Amino acid sequence: MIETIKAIWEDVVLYNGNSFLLVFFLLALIFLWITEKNKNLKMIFIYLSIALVVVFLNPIYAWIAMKVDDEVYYRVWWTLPIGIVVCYSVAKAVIYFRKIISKMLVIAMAILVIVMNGNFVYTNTIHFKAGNAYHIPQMAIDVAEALRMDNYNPKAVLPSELLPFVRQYTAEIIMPYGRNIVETRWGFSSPLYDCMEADVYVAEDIAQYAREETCVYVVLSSIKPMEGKMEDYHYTLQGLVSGYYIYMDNYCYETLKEQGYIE
Amino acid sequence: MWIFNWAILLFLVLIMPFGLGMIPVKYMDKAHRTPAMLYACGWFVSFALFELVAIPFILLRRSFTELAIAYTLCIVLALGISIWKAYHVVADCMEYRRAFWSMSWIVRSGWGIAFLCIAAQLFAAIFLEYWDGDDSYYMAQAMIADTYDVMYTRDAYTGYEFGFDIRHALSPVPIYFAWLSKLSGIHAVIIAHSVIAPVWLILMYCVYALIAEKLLGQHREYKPLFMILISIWYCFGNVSIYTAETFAMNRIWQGKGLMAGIIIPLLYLCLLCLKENSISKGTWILLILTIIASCFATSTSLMLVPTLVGIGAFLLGYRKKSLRFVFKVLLCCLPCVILAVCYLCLN
Repeated sequence: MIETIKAIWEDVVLYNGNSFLLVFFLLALIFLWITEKNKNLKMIFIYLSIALVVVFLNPIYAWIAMKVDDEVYYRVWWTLPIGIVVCYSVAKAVIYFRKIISKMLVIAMAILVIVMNGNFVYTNTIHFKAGNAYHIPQMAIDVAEALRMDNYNPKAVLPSELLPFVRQYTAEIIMPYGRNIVETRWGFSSPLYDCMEADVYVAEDIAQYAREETCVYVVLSSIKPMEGKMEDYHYTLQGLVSGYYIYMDNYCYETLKEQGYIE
Repeated sequence: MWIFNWAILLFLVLIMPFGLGMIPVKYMDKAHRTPAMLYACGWFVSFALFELVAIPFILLRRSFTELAIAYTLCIVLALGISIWKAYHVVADCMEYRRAFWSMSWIVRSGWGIAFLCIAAQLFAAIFLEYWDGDDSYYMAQAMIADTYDVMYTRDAYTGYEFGFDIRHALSPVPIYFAWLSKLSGIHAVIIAHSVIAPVWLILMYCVYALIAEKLLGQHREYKPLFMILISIWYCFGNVSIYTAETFAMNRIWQGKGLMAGIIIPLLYLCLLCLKENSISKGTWILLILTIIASCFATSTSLMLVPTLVGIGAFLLGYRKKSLRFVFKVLLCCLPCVILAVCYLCLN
């Protein structure tokens, strides 16, 4: 139970970030409680919010919810009408003032407070100019296109930066692991992944583990150094695509050729 | 040829919702017959129908093609009935256009600024990209449905066949994108990232415009102010990666973004409509559609929505001194309960 209470508190702190979000919500609720004459509105915004907070802070409720998925309990705070209450409070405050200049001042102050307290969502650390209509890196598309085969879904091992994107573009490429292995808290592991993400590629190890995973292709970054050569371990370089070397397993090549998947 | 594909897609996401929304709006009073309400209702008819049609197909491990055919037929039927029985609501909704030009220049300027703020966000949604790891699950599931004609029986991350992902299967938003892709011939990822992102932002602001109407009905000239503040609030809502604003602005095409930015505000709109002394049939229809759509969006709604709506029902029922009202609202939460039982049994 103590763990649950700690987890709830952590969620609240993380949700609020380094802002006064919940403080503004509280101030807006108090403002509405004093000024709102419509009792039904008070019921929906003030008393419902209080009731939701009481329920969500309840360790029993949280314990049940966390049994289903403990990583997403913070989503309960989405049900608080923070944006609606704050913006409605500002609108009510503006309505209260008669003079235009006072109204403009209140609006300007409110916008200033929202901007200063908040964090602009379109920063260039998380939003980038779209390179294509897919909104995924073009290099992932180029590599996926290079890996695609007619009538066969090849298995390919890729560097971690490509993992989240290739199967968004095409589900025809099978992978020994996906983005799930990048999330350490999910507890997936693979010796092949460890080799692929090492500071230096070791060709012998990559070839061995990729073969164990029956990968047809191995995709390696061209900027990372490599110890040994993939060709020494029966791989053939198919090409350099958008900064990635694409190697094909010779044994797979022979098998696919025999079966008519490759001409 | 690509013009034809885009024409189909834009029809499905921009025009069709207006048609589908006519039936719920027909049962609403004249004050609620607005273009925004028509559009919002239309989307939620689409979501709710998809959830009701898709779940049996998914649980019975039928093919995606079979689901696509069945759902398309349902939508065509719904659209046909909507237009046949309720086309007259369009005339009521068009009165809003006349009302706009009768407003003072300050109010019209306010609306102009609000539209500019929203247009800037739509521009950003189309021309900026946001890389989210969860898309490697969501969009991959859409691609799997399109490529292998199966639903939730292959691992999205690797492509291997595996058991059955019951948790995500009950909220088949990716399969909805696969359906749009199948009909239009446009790649599901393009649909999600470049089309649905701006379109669902429009939907989000339609919902907030409806909320503004309920809150500021007596001071309608302040509605644009509310919309400007809400758009700025969302723009600067990234105070942490957990906020509803962050999810709505960065990944509204995902079920959780849909939940955070659109469904929860719409539930509040439903509560604002339910507080009235006289509740139209259309309001009840909207509430049921929203609750079913919440299940379509994310499995977290199975617990969250009954909590929010249930507490709201008790509080409003206390105000109205009506147990019958409470019971009726709680009955609307039945889809969540049924799916939660489904999930527990199949998990």
